[in-house]
Amino acid sequence: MTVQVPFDLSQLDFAAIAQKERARNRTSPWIVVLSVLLALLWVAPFYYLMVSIFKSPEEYAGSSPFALPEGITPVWANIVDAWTTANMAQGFANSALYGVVGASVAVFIAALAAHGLARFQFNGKTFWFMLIFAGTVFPFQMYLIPLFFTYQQMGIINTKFGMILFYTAVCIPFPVLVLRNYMSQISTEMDEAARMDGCSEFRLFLNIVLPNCWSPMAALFLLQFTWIWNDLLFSTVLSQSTDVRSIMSALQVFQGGYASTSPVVVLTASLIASLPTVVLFLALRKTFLRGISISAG
Amino acid sequence: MARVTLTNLVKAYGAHVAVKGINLDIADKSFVALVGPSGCGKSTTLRMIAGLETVSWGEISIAGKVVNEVSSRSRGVAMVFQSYALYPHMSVRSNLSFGLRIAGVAKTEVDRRVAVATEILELGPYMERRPSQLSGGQRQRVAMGRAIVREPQVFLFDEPLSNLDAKLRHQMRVEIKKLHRRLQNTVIYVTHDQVEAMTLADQIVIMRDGLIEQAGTPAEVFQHPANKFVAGFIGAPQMNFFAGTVTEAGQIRLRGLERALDVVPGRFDMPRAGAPVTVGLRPEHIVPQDHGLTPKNPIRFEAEVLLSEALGNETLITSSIGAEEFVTRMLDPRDVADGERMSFALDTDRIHLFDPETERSLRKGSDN
Repeated sequence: MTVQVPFDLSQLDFAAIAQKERARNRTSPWIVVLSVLLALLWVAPFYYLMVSIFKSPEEYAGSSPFALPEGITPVWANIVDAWTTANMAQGFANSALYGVVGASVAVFIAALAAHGLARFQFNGKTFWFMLIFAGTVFPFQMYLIPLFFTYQQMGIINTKFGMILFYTAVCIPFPVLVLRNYMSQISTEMDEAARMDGCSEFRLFLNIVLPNCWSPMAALFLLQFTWIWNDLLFSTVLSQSTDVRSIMSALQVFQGGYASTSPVVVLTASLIASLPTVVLFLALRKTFLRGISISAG
Repeated sequence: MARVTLTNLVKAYGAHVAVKGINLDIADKSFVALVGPSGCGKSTTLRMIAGLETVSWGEISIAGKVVNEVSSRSRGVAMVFQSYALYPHMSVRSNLSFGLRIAGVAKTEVDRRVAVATEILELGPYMERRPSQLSGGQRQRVAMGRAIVREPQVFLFDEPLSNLDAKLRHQMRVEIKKLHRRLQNTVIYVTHDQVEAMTLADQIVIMRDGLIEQAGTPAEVFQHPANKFVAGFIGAPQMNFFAGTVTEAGQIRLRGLERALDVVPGRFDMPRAGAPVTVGLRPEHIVPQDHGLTPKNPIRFEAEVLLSEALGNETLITSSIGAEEFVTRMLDPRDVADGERMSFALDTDRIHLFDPETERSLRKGSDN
């Protein structure tokens, strides 16, 4: 073997190499055109929403739906109109209660179950897991009628307690699936170290396992909160009165034969109603994405 | 006094018996290594002492008190795990103090103990870091620190160095040895690495298949292995074994060697003439001519080099006597070509003899 003279890097044209690398990765113009068209299709409803809320009912009626608004002031009137007509304050408060309590209690209970399923050895472990998991398999509509009659018999139909109970229960199975997989990957030696440090089983769960599951738990909380917030079906069936119904069923006043509200008010109301989940996502986006990638990995 | 006594200790998982009734008396302040191949029951034994596994039968006593039903935290033991098992969401400081805090130890005492561990292990600069921000060696030290702050009577180590690279492993071995010298606790150390066991321990316990094969000082188990398994397990490269026959004159004949091997008189319980024996010889006792100390009572022979592995300071040579391959060390090595014929001197004073059936050593007085 002979020792080679080092290769002279200065003879290379790095600009040319970079250009060649870029050319290799260049996207076809057709792909770009197609992407832009698809993006426009996607954005069009949002555009329609965004221009409409700044129009007064009269302006909306008299112009093309895609025309730009003349000013921005009518939005205040629209907001007030939407807020009062649908009694949105009450709807917001109810939905926030159901979303926050339902999703957080569900994720916490799911974490407890997942801890047991992932860390303890007991008979029928797979059976219990499959039983819980079955909760995510069937379409929700299947529960509707039995649930309605059961609630009626128990006297918890049209009550806040009934709503929270349902949302909590229905939001448990999916987080169990995700958290069980996640917790299975955490080293069991850590549990043993904690036990030797003197942790009780519950303390181990609370102080050692839970803090290592914040990311997937936050992601799951967000997913379940959004689901509860956006739920219309169960809210409509299980609640009637203004003080129990959620924001989504509150919006239903704008619909139906006797509704006479202008589309701009309906659009404004929809936008307001969807703001909390968007804000929540933006606030928790880092944790959410981390949680999603962990559960996928 | 933290003497640890295992009496008829059994661990059964249903029909599978992992530990088959072992008896062991570990003196206070001693450093005992449990070694053996994977699945030999050494970790299970350690975990039973730690209280992480229940005891199926038998008794474990620590400092004279039976602890079978005592919880881990009350046994006065601390354990360093293979994966370190640090709490990822806590800083080094919290990792060290967590156990004491939940036990309700006063803050000044917690601070004192953490400070002592920090000083011993030189963890000062890393106290506010998370485990993920530490190197393997630093994590290992935190894991030891977590054990130190508990001020245990007995330290348990479960293959603590197996996740480290060779250089760091050596460094940590030295640190563990120093730590033991300084703290003077009883240490029970599980490893599959016989080098770790030999260098660290005062006493080595070699296990196989849920049973203790031999227990003794490193020198004892190396020089006087109780059976063929221990002889093969302790020492690297491992001991060479040959099938031999006892001659009428009380010598041992190996197939492929012209001269029979003399046996040191009175050292072995020799079987009758014509009986088969297993002869064991360590690599350093088959000396390539001019490359090592020439034995006092040599048998010289020539053999073909099958394979040579140059390690720099020495070369390992694989060759054969008859059909049986052996490995030897060539000190002060020269270049060796495969297929070359080479002269070797076999040290007859250093042979080990084993019963081919029971695999027990035939050396007199080796009954353990």
